[in-house]
Amino acid sequence: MKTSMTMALERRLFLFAAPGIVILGCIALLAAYAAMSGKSYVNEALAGQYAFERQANEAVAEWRAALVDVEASDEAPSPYAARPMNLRLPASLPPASLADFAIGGGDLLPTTTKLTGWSSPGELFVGYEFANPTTLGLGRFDLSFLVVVILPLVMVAASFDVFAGERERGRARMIAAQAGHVRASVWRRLHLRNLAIWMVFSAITLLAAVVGPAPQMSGARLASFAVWLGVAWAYGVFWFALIAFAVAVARNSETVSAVLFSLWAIFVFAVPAVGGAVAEAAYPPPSRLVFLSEMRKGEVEAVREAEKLTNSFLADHPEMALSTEDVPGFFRGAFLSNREAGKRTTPVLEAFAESREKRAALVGRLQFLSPALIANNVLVTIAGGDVARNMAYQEQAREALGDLFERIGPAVVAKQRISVAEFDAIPAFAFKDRTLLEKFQGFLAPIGFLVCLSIALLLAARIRMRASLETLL
Amino acid sequence: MIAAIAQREIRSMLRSGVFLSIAAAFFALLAAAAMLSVERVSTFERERIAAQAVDREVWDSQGERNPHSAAHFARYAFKPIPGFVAFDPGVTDYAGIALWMEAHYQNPAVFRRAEDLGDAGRIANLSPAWVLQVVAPLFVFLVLFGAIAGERESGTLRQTAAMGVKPGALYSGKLLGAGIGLGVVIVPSLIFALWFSARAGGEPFLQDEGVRTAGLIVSYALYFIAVGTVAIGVSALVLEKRAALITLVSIWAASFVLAPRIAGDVASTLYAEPDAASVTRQLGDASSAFYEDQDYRDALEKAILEEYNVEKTEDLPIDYGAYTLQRSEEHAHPLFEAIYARLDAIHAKQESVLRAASLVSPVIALNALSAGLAGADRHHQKAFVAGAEAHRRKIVKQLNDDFMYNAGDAGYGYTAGASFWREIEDFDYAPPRFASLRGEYFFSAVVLFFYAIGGLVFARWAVSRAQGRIAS
Repeated sequence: MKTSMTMALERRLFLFAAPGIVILGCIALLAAYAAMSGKSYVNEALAGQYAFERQANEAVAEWRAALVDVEASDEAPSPYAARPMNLRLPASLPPASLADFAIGGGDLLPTTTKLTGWSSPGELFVGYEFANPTTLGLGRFDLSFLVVVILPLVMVAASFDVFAGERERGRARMIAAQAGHVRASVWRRLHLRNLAIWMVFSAITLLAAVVGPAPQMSGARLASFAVWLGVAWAYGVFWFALIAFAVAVARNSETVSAVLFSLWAIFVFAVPAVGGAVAEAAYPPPSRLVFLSEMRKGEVEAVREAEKLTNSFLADHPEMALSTEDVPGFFRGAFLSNREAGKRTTPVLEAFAESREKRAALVGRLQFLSPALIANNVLVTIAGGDVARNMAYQEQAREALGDLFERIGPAVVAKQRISVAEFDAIPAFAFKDRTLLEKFQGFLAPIGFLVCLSIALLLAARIRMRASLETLL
Repeated sequence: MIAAIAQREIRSMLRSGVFLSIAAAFFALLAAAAMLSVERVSTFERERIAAQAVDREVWDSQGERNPHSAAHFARYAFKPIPGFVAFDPGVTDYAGIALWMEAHYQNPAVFRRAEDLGDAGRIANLSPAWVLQVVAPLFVFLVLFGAIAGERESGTLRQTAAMGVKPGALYSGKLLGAGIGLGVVIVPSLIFALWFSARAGGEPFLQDEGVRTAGLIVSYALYFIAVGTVAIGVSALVLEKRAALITLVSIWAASFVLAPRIAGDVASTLYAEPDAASVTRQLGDASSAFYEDQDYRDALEKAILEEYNVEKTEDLPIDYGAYTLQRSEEHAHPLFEAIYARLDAIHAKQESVLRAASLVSPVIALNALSAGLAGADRHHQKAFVAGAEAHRRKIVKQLNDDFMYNAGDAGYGYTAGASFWREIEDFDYAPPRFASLRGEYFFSAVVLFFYAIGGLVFARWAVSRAQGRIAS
């Protein structure tokens, strides 16, 4: 069958027929909605963060101005003026350059905090849990979800009967009689239908990448988008290969569809659900309540032993002498208590990180059972909605808090102030993200596996389609 | 005739390799989900009980301290988890499990377990309820897609019509056969999952477990009637088995997988919550509002001096500092309530979108009802938070009162000891009875009921139509 004849057939059966129009229309609508929803989410997150940073920086500027006044004035300042304990430095996690493509854990995890002596490292991220748990549980509908869950389903719905359906209707014999074989027609129709789906999807995502949330298109966004789209296509090729294999092997369309839909349900839902549960059972996260208990034990111990801790702290900092200023005792008490709680909770935080790494490693192995898991992990990570990115932010913020404790601690315990020069030397918090290459390198093996699997399936389908007409028909 | 048709339906199911293999996979998945869930919830409860004991111990052993300083250290309220959470976790993983009842500030519940689940946790979470709500309908559709369409393709539909079998008899026979065939798999699964999960978490915790169990059984029964009748109806309506399969799988994907996700997203986009930092700022402002309002504080001072008929606060028989601390608490209460009420109103609007979406997706209605009956939805979380806030107010007042009446001239130098700390009670939470929240679930229950009735009517109409077309 010639290409023009296949095209004519496809125009009549798919492209300009109700099933094709419905499928392509749904993809266009869902992709446009997912892009708009992602953009709206990121814009809201950015607006919230700008407001947070502005307000926090204004307060820091006021604090610094008070410190300048204290240094410049000969008069005794208010005991509360420019106290280092009252310094609250903002530390935010900016949305990744492609955050609108995968919200991931972004709606669940904290993205702002203030670094201050009033917080222990364990308390740095608490009190942000205001979101509706019902909608959180349902998750967001973003472009990555569309790729991982919906596109394969649509590909199956569009392609499952390209050969078996023709065979059942008797059209396959007619095509074979005209062309001498059926494989070219089957391949062309598979290509055409799936390319149509992916072209519609890619056009809308390209538009979404260009008309993204503020800040507008950047080199980083463009590069991330290119990799993201490449991975999405690789996943699409896997499903194309799987469909082609099923189409080539199974005799009737009922079997093709049942097998493909079942594989879809297994890859997309069953393996991630069971895998997640098994990983949690194998490497349960340490109890957050144990963490809390340790933190509180540390705090109360610090309160009981405030005097001893003060003396020990000052012994470590002989350059500081106790000021005679009338500073409330709870300033020093709170600082020492938070420092002590930080020391006690460090092992628990490390245990959290270790268990998270072990679970991630297990899920990393289990992902070879599900191409959907591979695609989800890579797409969410490339877009910057992954949990690991947020955990890196939390770790960096805790390090910055530790640094702040080192810088203000001696002055707080000695009831003194830090100097303007010392304040100016405190670095502003800036999140250090992994580069795109670093992110991608972690996924070379699973992506390589996906590509190899796709090639194997395509070869198997090709070999099967080369079988004699008697076998195929 | 009805019995004969039903018998034939059951026989063909039991002879079908597809039915047996899908049923086996379904059982295995449900058993794994139940076991992992029960283990998980039992662990949560063990951790809670241990944390509660440590909180008591740490509180009692804090040593000599000013009561207001102790109010800042405060106590924690830990949310007990009912065993049914092992059946349906509802929002358990997405809602905080501990609440810090500190002075001056109404905190949200913290430590959401979903934060530890990783990226895959957002695609699907394994639980018996998820298996029954999402996987089971696919199982039903895969078993029943050929119920009528298969008869049509094999020609037996024409034969039964020729034998004078009435559409009503065919419909009843098919329904009975499907009900028994699938019921053999689904009913024991549901009962096993409920019985097994009720064992999780130790002591029975929900006061009305019987009512809730009955409610869960009825809800799932209605759901499966709706799912099964839709499958039979679609099978009767379309001409080929292949078309029935593709239609039913499309309905499953759109209504059971996509619709809840899109509905949740639309709800969050239409009624966006304020960002966490701005809510924290509002709570901070509410907390310090008393100290920002000099006129109010002057009036308060004047009033207390008049009440005790003294000139200066130093002459008061109570500690004025402690008095203002308690008044600042009371000043903040309505402000906190207003902030949380605004959030609650947004959440309620978001859930109204979900309720509307349940009209096209029965799983959304069942989801709301099942989580509510399991004591694991937002309304139960709200009750926990309200209980903890009431306890916070009670213990902070107790601490401030001790400071106010016993400090004498010592002021902030006054300290209390272990005997007073022991007087501060633990937070004791009893979840609300389901009946007290029934209004929240009425819509979902009605929707589910009408899905079941609508399914029965649809299937009856479709079977009559199919037989009518064959006969003509």
